[in-house]
Amino acid sequence: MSDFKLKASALALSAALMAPVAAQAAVEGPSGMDFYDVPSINTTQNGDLIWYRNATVNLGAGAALAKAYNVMYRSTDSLGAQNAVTGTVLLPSTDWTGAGDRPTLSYAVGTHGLDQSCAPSMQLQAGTDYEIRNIRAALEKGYAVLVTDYQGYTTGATPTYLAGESQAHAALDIFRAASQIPHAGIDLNAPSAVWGFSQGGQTAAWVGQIADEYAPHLDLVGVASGGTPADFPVVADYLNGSTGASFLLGGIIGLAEQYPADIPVDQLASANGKAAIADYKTKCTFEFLFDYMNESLSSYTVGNKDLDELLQIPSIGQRINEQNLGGEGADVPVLLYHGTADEFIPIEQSVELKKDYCRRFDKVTYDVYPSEHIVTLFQAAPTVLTWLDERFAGQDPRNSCYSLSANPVSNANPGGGDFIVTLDEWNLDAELHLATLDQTVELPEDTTITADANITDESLVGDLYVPDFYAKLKILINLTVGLSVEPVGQIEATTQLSRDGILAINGSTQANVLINTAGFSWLPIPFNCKTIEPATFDLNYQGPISDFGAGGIVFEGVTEFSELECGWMTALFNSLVAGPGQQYSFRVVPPAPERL
Amino acid sequence: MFKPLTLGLSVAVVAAITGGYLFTQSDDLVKVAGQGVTDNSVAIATESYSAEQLSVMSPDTLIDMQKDALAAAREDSSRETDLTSVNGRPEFVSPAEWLILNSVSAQNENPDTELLRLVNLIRFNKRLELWQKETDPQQREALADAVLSLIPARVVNQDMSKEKAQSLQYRVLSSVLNDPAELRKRAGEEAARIGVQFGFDQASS
Repeated sequence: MSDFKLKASALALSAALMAPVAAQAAVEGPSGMDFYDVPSINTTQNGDLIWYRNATVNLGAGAALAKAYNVMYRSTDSLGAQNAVTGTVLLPSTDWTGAGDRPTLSYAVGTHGLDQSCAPSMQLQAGTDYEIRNIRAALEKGYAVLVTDYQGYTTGATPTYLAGESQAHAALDIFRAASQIPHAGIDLNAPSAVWGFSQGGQTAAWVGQIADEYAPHLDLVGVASGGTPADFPVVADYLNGSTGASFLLGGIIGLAEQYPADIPVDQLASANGKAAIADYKTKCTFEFLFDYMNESLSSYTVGNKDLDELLQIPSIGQRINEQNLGGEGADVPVLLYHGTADEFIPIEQSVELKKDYCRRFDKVTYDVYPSEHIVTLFQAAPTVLTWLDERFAGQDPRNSCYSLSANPVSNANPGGGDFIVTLDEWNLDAELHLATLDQTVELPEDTTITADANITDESLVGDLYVPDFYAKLKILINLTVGLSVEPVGQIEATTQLSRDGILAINGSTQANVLINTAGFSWLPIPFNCKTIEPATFDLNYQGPISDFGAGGIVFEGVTEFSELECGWMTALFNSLVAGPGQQYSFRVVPPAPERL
Repeated sequence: MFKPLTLGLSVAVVAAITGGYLFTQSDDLVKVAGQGVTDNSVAIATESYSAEQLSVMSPDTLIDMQKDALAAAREDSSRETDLTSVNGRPEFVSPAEWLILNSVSAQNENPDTELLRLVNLIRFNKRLELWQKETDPQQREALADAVLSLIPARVVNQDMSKEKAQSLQYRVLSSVLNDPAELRKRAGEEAARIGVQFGFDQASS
């Protein structure tokens, strides 16, 4: 279908929805893909349910999910035109233990891709949505969770990706839609909040700015906005020709869909650009991320116009700047958070947004993560959910506007090269279980891993650091026999990120085991006893990319300690410590955030 | 420089060990010391020491006990099989080591079986220690044979993996055989005893 036909069908839809016909009772929608065909049904107000159906979603084993629905509801785009938006409503199996009614959270997803199959509602059904971990965490809190697809995933439409107000409308209108599902038990008057990261962070911040006017009926208690693209020209410049270049291309396509007259992409795109756009529209995040990495916008434009030239075209510059956040205050408490190593969205412009809100005496809490974009998305979840819990409990938030802490500065890897996730002194929650002694030895808390996971060339190289320590072995009361671990050489592994967001790490590291002290607990004596060759610890892991940020990467296995050499007690310690069957577990934990 | 330091540390460790108490504080375990060893092929220690007795001994006495146990291990090294049962402290196990092995095995769900495994393992490890330290070629060859004889049992008891066992076999054989053909032949024979097909490149890598 041509772009012209798509736009024509979208206009027809808009016209149909605009007809002022009285609201009808919610109806069950069809099964299969027919659900995404917009019916000729008119509604009376934003958020009215067009139709719904019971949904089967795959959030993984153990998810606190009681029931799920798909919904299609009326909303409006950034220009105020009515549209139809799809989404998912998730009811938790967890009891709400807080005060008052069960809260409702609108979870605003980040970039998913422009193809209809990338829609969150479809990926949640397929179990492939990369944000499942955060959604699960919200359900475990006992919140009802609403996940809008945003505008553009109905059949024949194209998402208006990064059109801020359109996204915010969709994230707000789903509250009313969910409340209209018969017997779902979602109260429109319940305390509500919006949480999102990246594109979702943009959405959440927009919600904070417009909710009072657009959805005054909601009891909105706060918005949590992470990895927020607040200053579009700055973000566009950061992305252009960089690892996150695909998001810029996607943004141009999405905003052109919202503002076709002002961003005439058909006229601006070269043949190469048109081919790229057509291809881009068929792919989801972890496909186009790599396929369009490090590309400059000029490679897609007629006459190789670069970003600056495009932004100087008044209609384009105006529409791009209209997506900027700030310039007006937030009506509710805002949590902003960002990773200093964010290679897609620069942290400085997020700090500027905070300052903008602070100048308007808004209540802004600001958390700084020492991580890159994708890691921060998942690492932040526990902290964000705690912040939301506090809002639902009616507590006053910490206001970072009065913080004396220095503003965070980016330490992201330079753009334009390989996509590298740097682990800078990440904690390693590590333990060994000694076979013969049947004893678990925990390595010190400040055991760390420093590594570069190069997703582009599929390598991971780094170092393990174990501080001087000894763990007391339980052999005799009052006797201290101290065991320690001494890394040898580098960590070497391959690392692969599949196109459905599954991370695979395969490698190993080596370490010697030492009996370094022995004696009474009050008088440990240095004792140099060491394995004659280092033990090999296989580091194999496969799981969702979200595990990186959520501390879910755990390397487990069984290794063998060689014999030790330690003088007169060699035979004894060999008998107690050396041999096979030594279990280990290394959990990689990102460094903690800092709240300004 | 190195030897006196090592000796000094060992004194401290032995003193510390004997100054401690059995972790489980089980009287039965202490009483085991001095009882006879039922395996008639192994010399039986007749001395009986409690932890309290050991803790008041001089460091020199304790070190001498370690030396005596190691000497007993050398005497025992011509015997090619593991012990089949243990009811008391074999002479190649020092009183301090005996306390520790009992303490550790008592934490196992099958303490008697575990004690037997540990006794056989320390016996093997003492042979290994003796072989590593021996400088006399003739003695070293005899100790090499003594080590090799007990490696299959280490694999069966899961005291070491087949890979480690094969690597050790090759290391021990390399120390006493200069002829590459003979080395390859013996390595193949020893590997077969632990159920491994010998590959020369593999073993030498």
